[in-house]
Amino acid sequence: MDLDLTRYPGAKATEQFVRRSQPLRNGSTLMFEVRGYVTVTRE
Amino acid sequence: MSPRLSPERAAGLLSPVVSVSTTAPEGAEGSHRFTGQSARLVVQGTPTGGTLWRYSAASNTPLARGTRYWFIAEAPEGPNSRYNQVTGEFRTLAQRVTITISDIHIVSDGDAESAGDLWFTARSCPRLLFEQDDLVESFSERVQWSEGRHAVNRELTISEPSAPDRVRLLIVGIDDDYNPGSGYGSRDPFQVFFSCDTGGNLSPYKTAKAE
Repeated sequence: MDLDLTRYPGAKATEQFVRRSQPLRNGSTLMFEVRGYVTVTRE
Repeated sequence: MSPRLSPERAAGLLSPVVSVSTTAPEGAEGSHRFTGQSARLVVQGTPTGGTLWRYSAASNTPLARGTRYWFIAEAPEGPNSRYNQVTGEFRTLAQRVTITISDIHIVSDGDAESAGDLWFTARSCPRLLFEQDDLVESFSERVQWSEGRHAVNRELTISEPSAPDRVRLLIVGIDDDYNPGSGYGSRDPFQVFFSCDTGGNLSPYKTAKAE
């Protein structure tokens, strides 16, 4: 997950995200999805 | 900063000079100088009525975040004004980023006959940006999760006073069937997956990664 913090202007900014792992391949057996949020603060 | 300097700037030819530095100026009152490295700001003026102008100074390149700076503003001598100098200091804002992992939905738990024995951890670029790496359990302790949604509610907070503008976060899930300690002769299994400098190899074996 690449974050460009300049996209979050101001004293506080929050953005939700959902990221899914790579599809099963090359013997990989674990696959998951992550939900969360990014908070950027400046003070 | 926008020092109001007077008067007789109307010609626009007598713009003040503003320099900033992370080291304090030296010298006597009215003749301060930076002895260390300094940067000259771009000064723009706008008339505010009469003979008064308001000047503003800005840096061409971003100043370092969370840093104490000193400035020297100098107004040159004009036909109807004397040389003037003011000094002062300011601090740029520090930037902090927090990544909150609310939950992880297991799509495939890696074990056909029972719940998977899993470990979720994070790696960052720049390296070691966050105070802690592990999101769910650890290298030596695994959680048994079957497929479905699992609450995590874990925060990753930065260890540095201020975060850079560009951050990369990799969330890695590891199935207990895979021993990352034996991987490719490296004690750090993630060295084989990515490198902040070169990008690395992003084809994990029995390990899934949310980019």
